[in-house]
Amino acid sequence: MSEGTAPGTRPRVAAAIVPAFDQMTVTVRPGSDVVARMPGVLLVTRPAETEEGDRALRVVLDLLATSAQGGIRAPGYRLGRALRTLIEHGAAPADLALVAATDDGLAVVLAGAGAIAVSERGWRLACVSGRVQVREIDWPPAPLLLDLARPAAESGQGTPEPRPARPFDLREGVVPGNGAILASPPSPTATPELGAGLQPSAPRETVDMLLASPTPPSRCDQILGVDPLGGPRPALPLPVTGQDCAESGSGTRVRGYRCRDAHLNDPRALFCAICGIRMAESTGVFVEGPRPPLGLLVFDNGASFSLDDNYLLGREPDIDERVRTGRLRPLVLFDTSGVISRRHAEIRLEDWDVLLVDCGSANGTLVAERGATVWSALVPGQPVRMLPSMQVRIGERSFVFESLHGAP
Amino acid sequence: MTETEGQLIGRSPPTGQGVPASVADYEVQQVLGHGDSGRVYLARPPNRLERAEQFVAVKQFNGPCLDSAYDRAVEELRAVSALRSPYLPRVFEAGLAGGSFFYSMDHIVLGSLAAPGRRLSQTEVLLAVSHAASAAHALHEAGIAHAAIKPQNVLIGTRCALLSDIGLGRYLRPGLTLTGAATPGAVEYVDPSVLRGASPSRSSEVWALAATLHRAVAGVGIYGELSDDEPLAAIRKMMSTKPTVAPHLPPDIAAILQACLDPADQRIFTAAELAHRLTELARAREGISGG
Ligand SMILES: Nc1ncnc2c1ncn2[C@@H]1O[C@H](COP(=O)(O)OP(=O)(O)OP(=O)(O)O)[C@@H](O)[C@H]1O
Ligand SMILES: [Mg+2]
Ligand SMILES: [Zn+2]
Repeated sequence: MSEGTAPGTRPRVAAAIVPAFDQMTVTVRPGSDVVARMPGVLLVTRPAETEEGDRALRVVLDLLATSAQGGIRAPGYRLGRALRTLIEHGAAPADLALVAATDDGLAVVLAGAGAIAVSERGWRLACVSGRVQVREIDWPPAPLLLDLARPAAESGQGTPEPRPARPFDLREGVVPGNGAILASPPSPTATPELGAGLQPSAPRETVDMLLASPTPPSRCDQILGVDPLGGPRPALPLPVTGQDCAESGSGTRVRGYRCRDAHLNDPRALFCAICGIRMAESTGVFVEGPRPPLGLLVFDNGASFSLDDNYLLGREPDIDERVRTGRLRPLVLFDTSGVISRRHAEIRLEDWDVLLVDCGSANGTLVAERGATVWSALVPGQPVRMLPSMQVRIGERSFVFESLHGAP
Repeated sequence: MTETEGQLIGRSPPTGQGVPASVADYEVQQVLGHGDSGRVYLARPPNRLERAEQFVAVKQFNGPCLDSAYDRAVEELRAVSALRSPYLPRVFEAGLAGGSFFYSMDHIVLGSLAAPGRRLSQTEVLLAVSHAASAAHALHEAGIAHAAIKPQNVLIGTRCALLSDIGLGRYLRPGLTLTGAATPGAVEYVDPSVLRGASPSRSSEVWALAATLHRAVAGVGIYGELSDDEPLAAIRKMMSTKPTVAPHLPPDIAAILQACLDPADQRIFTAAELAHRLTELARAREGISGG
């Protein structure tokens, strides 16, 4: 788990490891926006320099004050929703960042230019399209900055951070400032281990949350309580001696030799592909049977495909008639470089052979023998027999043919 | 390690690395994790779902989903759901969001056996894998192979463990034997017979359950540490060497593991038998009454 989302996986242990919000220190960065702290809540906002702006600010401060009354320890849940409604009705400033305590983390409300960040972890949450964002996050593993994005003209001259060693701390009140930092008090002993025992999933790069408006799914089907169309299926067979060999596949039949354990093998093979027995010991009866998978295509990212059927490789293989009718399996190669053609190359199984054909792709298909570093381009339309461990390159992608029935 | 790779063979996921505010009309709260096939989000269910749960988990697959694959995946999810096993998370609905397949399911608070939200005792691990084996058995009896048994899919609930995410890659990406390298070492849970092209079976799933248990109790895989950077080398090692049970494990656990890793015709035959033996073991350890 190494996702860059909220700072740290959500603490799932006792709420005891979550420090009391009101014991955190708040450092204010000098500036002309507004920073407010009340029990359980911290707000940074930029009301318009008008009477309306003043009114909007008062509305929000009133809301914070009410929610702080009665000693509620976790005003976050209610505040989030209430504030969203206010902003959406234009009654609260359009630019704000607020965090408020919940039982086990923080509720966050962001609007307009509002953003929160854990700079130490390169993590930042902002409203990309300016819509209001309300969500719950984990207790941050490191100091949390709340601020409002500056207009581009100002952004170069960043406000200097107050020296962390100075004991600045806004306990409660409303003051001017460009952003505020919520952090554990710098006491060496009293600092609780945040999320101890949990693996913090700190991302290395800045991750911006993107806002897209929720739209119902283009297609959806209930699962719970809906019976499948097909009736009951037979139970999976119990293991039977000697049945561990691969007998799946497209149903194509081939001729070959059986090893002592009756695995069907390529007549050219020296050893059984399944059990490794020397084929020289075989009885020499040439028989016909279902073709076992001929190997794997192992991609550079580890994705592996069984060679029990024919494939069409490309950016959009399903534009091909043969894919749509099920004669070829699509294997989508994801490509950012634009080098891969929609239909790029085909893998064809013939008897015991695996053939590779370039489908007249724009940029070609390169192959190299096992271990070789010299690449040669395939002639479009001309099938080449893949040898064990042959390497293939298509655009930025590459794969190796891992043979099971390796004929020498 | 690169970003999520998945159904598509690509270096970067088509979605970029941002976290969406929503998947369809599910309001995303955070990412619970990601695997080879996509991501799982913690989300608020939309009202139309009429669910009382405050949060559900939404699993969204990478890449586009063809209609035929969609139908097949829905059918499989319904077949699993019809089993009503307490060891399988409930799946509420499946759908398409932005062209990609997704489904919503129970959010299991303690996360997976691969990275549980709190330390689990050895007995708890034995029970968790026992529950996963019970789930697998219920599937097998209904003619369904899970095909993706690994610690990441054994979720730790408050009352029992659950086996999540039946392998839909088979339908969404035919031929796919192993997904990409986004999940470290996912290959070590794939029975080599499946690497050789066999369909997942009772015996390959008993094997996978053992590989899962081994990783969780021994802290190391049955092939040691396979390289994530060299998938081909990992596959070759698995196809050419025998798995080994770590020597430091208690003999009773080691014996069960060995009985699951033996050649298919000598293995513990059913996942139910494995579940039973693990529960017995757990009971013997702490005199607890299972479940
Ligand atoms: N229902 C759930 N409740 C809680 N956490 C979950 C849930 N589903 C998944 N997770 C978390 O998200 C992580 C990623 O899950 P995901 O299913 O995307 O990957 P995976 O399990 O490795 O692969 P697969 O695609 O085979 O299931 C899991 O390891 C688990 O920690
Ligand atoms: Mg999973
Ligand atoms: Zn053989």
